[in-house]
Amino acid sequence: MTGTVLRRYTFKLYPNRAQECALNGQRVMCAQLWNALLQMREDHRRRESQKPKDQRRTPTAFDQAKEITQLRKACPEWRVMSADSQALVAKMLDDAFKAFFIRAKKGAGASSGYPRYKSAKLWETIPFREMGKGWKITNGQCVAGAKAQSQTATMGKAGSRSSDPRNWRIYAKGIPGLIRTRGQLPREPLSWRNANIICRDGTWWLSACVEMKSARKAGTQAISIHLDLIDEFARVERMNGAVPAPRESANQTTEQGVIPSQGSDTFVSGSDGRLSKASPSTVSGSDTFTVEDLLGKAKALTERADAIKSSRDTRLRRRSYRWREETARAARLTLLAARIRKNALHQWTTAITREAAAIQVRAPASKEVTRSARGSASNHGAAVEINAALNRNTLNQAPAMAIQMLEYKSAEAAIPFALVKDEAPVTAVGRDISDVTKAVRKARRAIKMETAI
Amino acid sequence: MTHQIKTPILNTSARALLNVLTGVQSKTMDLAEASILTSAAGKIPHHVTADLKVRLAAPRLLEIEAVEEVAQKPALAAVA
Repeated sequence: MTGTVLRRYTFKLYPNRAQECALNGQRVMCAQLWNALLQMREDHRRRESQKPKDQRRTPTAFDQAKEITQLRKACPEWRVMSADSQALVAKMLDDAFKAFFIRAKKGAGASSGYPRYKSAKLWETIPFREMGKGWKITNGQCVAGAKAQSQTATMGKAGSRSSDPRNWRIYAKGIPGLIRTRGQLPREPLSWRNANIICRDGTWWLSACVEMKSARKAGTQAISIHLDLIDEFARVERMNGAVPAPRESANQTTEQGVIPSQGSDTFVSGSDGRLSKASPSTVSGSDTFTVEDLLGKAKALTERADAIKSSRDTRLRRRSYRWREETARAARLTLLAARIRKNALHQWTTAITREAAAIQVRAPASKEVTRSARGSASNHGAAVEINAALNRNTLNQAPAMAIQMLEYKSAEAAIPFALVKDEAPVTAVGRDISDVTKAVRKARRAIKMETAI
Repeated sequence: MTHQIKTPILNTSARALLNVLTGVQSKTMDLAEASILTSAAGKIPHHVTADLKVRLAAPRLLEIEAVEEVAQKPALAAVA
């Protein structure tokens, strides 16, 4: 639907002891169901493998959902949770198998990702379909600026927790009472598409996908972005008029001249929490940041995590208590870096989309430019260390994520978006070093052989 | 700017080395000359690599400097 967007929001749940117990029970049931369905598929496959190839059949999510219905009839304890949640577990397994076969057919080999049996201890999610199917919001509007519903307002005193629209409650099938939830949507949703109740590190969350009207608006300038990824993250050029055709972009001169990278522009955090561009003279040091600062911070954290892993592997016995502690420490740092990076790119892409009437991005193909320089047994690589450092640097800036964000934000604001492949990317310097080093090696070998003769 | 400056130099080196290789194999080039050319061309990737390492380490260096600056502030204040 034009003008509408899908957004996923996560709200914190505050279940009481009995509710938490019931949620844990449902979570474990989902894991058990996944394992049972996976086993069913494997048994079926084993039986089918004895048949001729043209007569073999694989059970689908639909077939397995019918099995679940039989299970619910035979065992009343499975009727505790929503049938839709159970059907969604079957669909999740079906999707996992489909993705596995797609990757395997593309030649991923051992890394095709065959669906695994899941530990009930590690299973996190209870899936739900749209609101009204196994779950619903019972009171409160959970929308910014909305007043609490009369029912809630009469329940609590003015100014108390229950009169606050940020506090609301959800009903979920099989859970005693209503679960207290906290959070707000920025505006009224058109519909609640699906939801997951997630247990993460002992805390419970409601992750819901909502459909709402797009609030993104286009700007007035045609913007051309060149992802550099070494000296700066990106070079942003603003042009009057339309974005040039992709082939002419390299020689296009701008009417306003080359504007320095977005990274050197200054962003100010406003009172509403949004970022706006301002001239450097109007901002104080504490309020300013650049996308490169944040990406650099994420990169430094990733490097620290790498150092922890390296020291862990040299000092500690694998799988020991200390080894696991250090692994968790490195994982926390990596996650923090990922969050910082994602946030930086969100702010950067939003600021660009707000200004743009058209966007053209010139970027290298990430997979090609980050290929390892290690080579093979028959064709040895060269300059592996610097290429690995370059690849890490490129991947730490997540150029593909930035492009994806720009693309979908442009689509939301109805801005024309063009992606042009950079044929001579800056990061190709690593490959050139590798080529020259190989050529030197070959020449030296030839000279040595001639001298020996 | 790295690519615009460094890559032409590297490409020229690669072409020169290819000439050296064919010259040596077809015995049209003097071995001493070939050796000098190879060792000269062999130094270029080292220089480019060193430059790239500095460029890639720059954010970290800046961060370290910032941390040091923060650490030094109370000490400087105490001295003042």
